[in-house]
This record gives sequence, C-alpha cells and structure tokens, in this order.
Amino acid sequence: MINWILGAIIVGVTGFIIVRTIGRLRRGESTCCGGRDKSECGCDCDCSK
Amino acid sequence: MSLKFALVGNPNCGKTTLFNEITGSTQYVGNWPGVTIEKREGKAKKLEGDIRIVDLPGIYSLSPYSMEEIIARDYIVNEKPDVVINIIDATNIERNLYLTTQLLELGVNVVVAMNMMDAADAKGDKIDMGILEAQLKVPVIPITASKGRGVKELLERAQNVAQTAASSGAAPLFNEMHDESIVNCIQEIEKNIIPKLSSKTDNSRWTALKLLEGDEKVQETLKVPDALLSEIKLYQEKLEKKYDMDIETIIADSRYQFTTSVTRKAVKQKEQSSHLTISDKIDKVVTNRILAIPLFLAMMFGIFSITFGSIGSFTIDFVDELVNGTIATFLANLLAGAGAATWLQDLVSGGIIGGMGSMLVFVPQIMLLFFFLSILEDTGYMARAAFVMDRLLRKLGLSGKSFIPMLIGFGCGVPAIMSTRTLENEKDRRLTIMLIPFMSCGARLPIYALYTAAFFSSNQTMVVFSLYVLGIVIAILSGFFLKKTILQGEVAPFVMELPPYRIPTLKGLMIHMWDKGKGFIKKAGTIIFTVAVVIWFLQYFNIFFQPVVDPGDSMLGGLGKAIAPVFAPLGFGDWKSAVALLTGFVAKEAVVSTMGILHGVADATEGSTDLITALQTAFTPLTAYAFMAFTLLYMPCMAAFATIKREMNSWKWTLITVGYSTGVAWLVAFLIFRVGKLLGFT
Repeated sequence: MINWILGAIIVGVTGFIIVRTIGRLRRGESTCCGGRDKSECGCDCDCSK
Repeated sequence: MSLKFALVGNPNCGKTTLFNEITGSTQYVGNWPGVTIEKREGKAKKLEGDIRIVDLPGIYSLSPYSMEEIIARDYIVNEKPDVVINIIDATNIERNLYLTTQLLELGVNVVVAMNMMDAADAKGDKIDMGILEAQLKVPVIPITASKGRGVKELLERAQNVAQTAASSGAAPLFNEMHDESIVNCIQEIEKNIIPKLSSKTDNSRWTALKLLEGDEKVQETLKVPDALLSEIKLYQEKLEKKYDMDIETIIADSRYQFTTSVTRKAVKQKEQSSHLTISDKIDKVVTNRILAIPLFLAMMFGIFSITFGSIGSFTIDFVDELVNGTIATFLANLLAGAGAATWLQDLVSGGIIGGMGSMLVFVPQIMLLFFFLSILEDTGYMARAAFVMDRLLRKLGLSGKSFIPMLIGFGCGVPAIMSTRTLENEKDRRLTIMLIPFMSCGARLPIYALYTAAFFSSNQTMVVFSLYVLGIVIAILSGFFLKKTILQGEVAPFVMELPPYRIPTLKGLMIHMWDKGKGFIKKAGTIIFTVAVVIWFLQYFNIFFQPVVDPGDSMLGGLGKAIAPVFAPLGFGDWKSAVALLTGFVAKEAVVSTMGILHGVADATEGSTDLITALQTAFTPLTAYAFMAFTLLYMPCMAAFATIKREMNSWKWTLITVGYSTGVAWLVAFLIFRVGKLLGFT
C-alpha cells in the first residue's frame, strides 16, 4: 500500500511541476518564477500576491 | 477607494528602496543605474486602504529616447496613476528636477519625495522645502527611504492629493517654465491643430507641446497628417529663427533654465572644498589606468579564496553530513521499517535525496559568494568595474554598455538577458545576449565546487577563479569576432553615471544573500526534484520497463551511449557525463544532481558511495577541467533559452546563440584537453 501511495505522490508532484514549468515558460514567466526569485528578475510581478 | 501611485525618478535615486520600504517587499536594489528594467507593482503596507504602488524604471526625461523612458511615459500617460511620486536625489537636485518639469508639463498629480536627505545633510546642503513647494506648486516631502524616514508622511500627502485634487490635464507651470513666445506657440497649436486631429487627446496642452517639440512617438500615436505636420513646422521654424537653435534644444534649454532658477532659490550648497572627496580619492585608485584591472581581479580572487577556502569547505561538510548522511539514513530506515519496496527506497534515497542533496550541499557556499559580490555591488564598486572594462572593450570594438548585463550574468543569465533592453542599438543588444551565456552564473558553482573538491583540493580557489576569467575572456574574444563578422556596426558610446560610494547595509546584504539561497532551495524542490525523479526512472528501467542491474543497460544508459562519442574527443566520453550535460539544459545544477544519482550517492539501501571518490575514477584532473570549461560555456539553461527567444523575438537568432555557445564550448574543451595532454598534464 505504501508503495502505491508514495509512488503516486512522487509521480503526481513530478507531473505537476513539469506541467507548471512548461506553462510558465510558454507564458514567458520563466524569468520570474522558473525556479528563481522574483526579486532579481525585474519583471512585472504583483508582489502583494 | 483604490488608489494607484507611480514611483518615478532618475536612475539610482532610490526608487526601489522606497518601493521596498512602502510595500514591505524585498525587490532587488543595486547601487548602479538601470537595476529596474520593467515596472513592478506592490501594495502599500504603511497606510490604510487599497493603495497600489508601481515602481518604474529610472529615467532622466520623458523624451522617448530609450526603452525605459518609453515604458515610464506610456505608463503615466495611458494608465493615469492617481499620483506620481517623483523621487529626487537631494544631493543632485538640479539635474533631477529636469524630469520633474516634464511631469509638471504633463499636468498629472505630482508629489515630490526629496530622498537621501541624510546624504544631503552630511554634505552640508540646506534645502528649503517651502521655497521648492512654492516654485513647483506641488508638495515636497523630505525623506530618507533607506532608513524609512518621512515615508509615512509622503504617503499621507500623496493620498491627500489623490483624494482632493483632480488631475488638471493642463500644466499650471507652463507660463513660469517657458518663455512667452514658446507658450504662445503651444497655445496656437492647441487651438489650431489639435481640434483637426482625428484621434482625440485628453491632454491638449501637453500634446501641443509634444507636437511642437517634434516628438515622433506622439505624432505616430495621434496619426498626425502631413498637412498638419507642415503647419507645426511653421511654428517650429519661427522659434528656431528667434533662438537660433533647433526646436528640441530650445524646449530643453527652457526647462533647464527653470530648474537652475528653482535650485538657486531653494538650495544653499555648502561651498565645495578644493580637496578631493573620499569618493574621488577611492576612484583615483580603483579606476586608475594601470591599477584598475589588476585590482578588480585581485578583489574577485579574494572573494573566491574566502568562499572556497576553509569557511566554504566547512559549510559543505556540514550540509553534506546533514542531507546525505542523517536525512538520507533516516528516510531509508523509515521506508524500510514501513515495508516499502526496494525500488521505492532506491527512488527516495538514491534518486530524490541523492539528486537534490548533491546540489543542496553547495547552497551555503553560493550564499557566501553572493554575500561578498553584493558588498562590491552595494558599495558602488561594480559600476566602476563596468567603467574600467569599457576602456578595454572599446579597444576591441565593443561597448562598455554590454558589460553591465554581463556583470549581472554572474548572478543569473535570465535578468542579464532582460537587462540588455537598456541597449538602444539592436545589433549591440543581440551581441550582448550572445555573450551572456559565457558568464559564469551561480548555477554553475555547484559543478565547480564538486569537481574542484575532487581534483584540485589544494588550489580550488585558483581553478574556480580561472574559470570565471575564462568566461570573461571567451566573451570578449567572441564579441570581437562577432562584431567583425555577423554583427558589424559602430561602437555605441557608453555614458554612465558613477554612483557615490555607499556603505552597504547589513539588511541589504542579508536580503541579497537570502534571495540567492532561497532561489536555489526552491529550485532544488521543484526543477531538480523533477529531474532527479525522471533520471532515476530512466536509469532504473530498460526500454521494456524492466529493472536493470547495470544502469548502463537502462533507457538512460542507451541515450547516454548514443551521445557520448560527441564528447570523447574532449576526454569525457562516458555515458554518465553525456547524460549529466544533457540534463544541464534543464538547469545547470542538474549536472551535479544527475552525477549524484548515476554514481549512487546517498544510496543507503545499496551501501553509500561517495560522489567525489566515484568521480575520481571516472575523470582525471585534465578531463575534469575540460568538463568544467565545457559546462561553463555550453548552451544556456531552459529558462535562459526561453528568455533569449522572447528578447530576440527570433528562432533563428536563438538557435544561433545556442549553437554558437555550444560550438565554442566544444572547441575550448577540446583545446584544453588536447593541449593539456601535449604539455604532459593528466
């Protein structure tokens, strides 16, 4: 059971990160959030969120 | 009621410091011009109510000469913020007021924030805020943004202005600012030309001034027909004849006369002593024709010595023990105790912990390096470095302007590529973008740290330093080559205001350091985690999805063996290195993580293997150096690739950039390996 639960979590998280990263790259947000900190990218971020 | 305040001011006058103070955020602040290249938004935390703050790039005027000026003017004209907070450097009022005159011409609600009052006081300058308010007819609030002084009052005044004064749309100061003949021409254009335009304007006085000034952007936006342009030309010629200057100079001169007159009335400057200031004395040494470059190199060497010396090694050992030792063993025991299958234990220990841990061990060292680089930047030294490099670059046909984005590239290529927007010339911009991947970004540090620890433990500092210098040298040589071949053109002039030397604040340094560390930790938890899982999967199964005993028989092994021959002439033709270089495209740190997984680090279930020992059997010092040189120079990571595509807006140039850097990397690594062998190195 633990194999299925942990395996599913790891696969799910991996899939989510891949989809999110691709989405961000397509939207041109990679400069802001592609693993980097907003404070250095100088892009048009809403910092209050 | 929702309000919007825009922060506008000259470069390096403290806009972002004020923005951070108001919003409580930690946006990047640098002691050099051009840190903010796009507008940023935040919410004011110091006041009740919904107040949005927009930080605009630093500009000297609202004339559309550069990208920043266009961004700032378009924002003010089109988005119509409720109040424009015009930040003025109190130590340099006259020059800063030029922008103020243009804001006043626009007729928007302006509140002046007289920033850096502490520095003005220290200089002994006396500024009469009352006279300034009377002259400019807008509120003027003294502040020191870095210490939070006067910020609350500034916001309250701005809020008050926004709630009580409606934007007049007509500048109250036109008559005081400009000569009667100029004002008459503006009024006539307003009366005779503006009504004939097909596009409507809600600020006819300002539009008339811009048309008189010959502003092409405004002409374009309003689609002014040729017949009307000819009529405007008559007004321009009338003034040009009277003043014996071109129309742009007439208007600019008129504004300058106004700013000079206001400054004379409101500011009593302490008499300048004939002695050199401390800043001048330091500059005499650090920008000295002979000493400048050796000093720059010595400073960088000093920083690397501390980072890769005993302090750096201590941090690596500490985190390594924690992540790859304590945490890995704990998780392995936990999974074994819970009855997890061997593959799951291997995935968590060997894949995830091994992959992420290999990179995480270097985070404190990276933070340490950026702490010292931030000191150089915040004191104002880095701006001098660009100035010094300009001399050298100019001899090679390049502009020192390109060096600022290249310096930013030491941190990360993505903001560096974006900062090329400050270059007006398209060819220079393309050239600079093509050179940025050669600068050694922070993400490459774990690779150097790992390989130097394995092969050059006694002279780690010198080897890492040589790689940074190699990157700069290759970038300069490439720039020279590209400028002579596919990107020919005149060298753009480099004019840069050298910021005053400032003592960095501990808070600022900590923010920079923490930002860097946080970025890496975040990356370890997202991109590196994903790469680790995918790499583990591909090296665990073969193409029939059956577990393999030897990872060389896995899917990844097959892929690695297919591409490894490309790297064989460079001395590292094994499949594991080939795969690691491939994953480096996702993120450079992934090279280390992949090596960690493929060499079985933190593989608690199979018996831990030390990555450094494993590498020592796979590489020699010479091939390790060639490998590091290759990773320094080859194609940029995915995020930088996407930014290059967006900024160049061309697939052709993006692929040329990637192809060029990878080609150069191959050639340099090949030369290092072959020449090194010839010289008897192993």
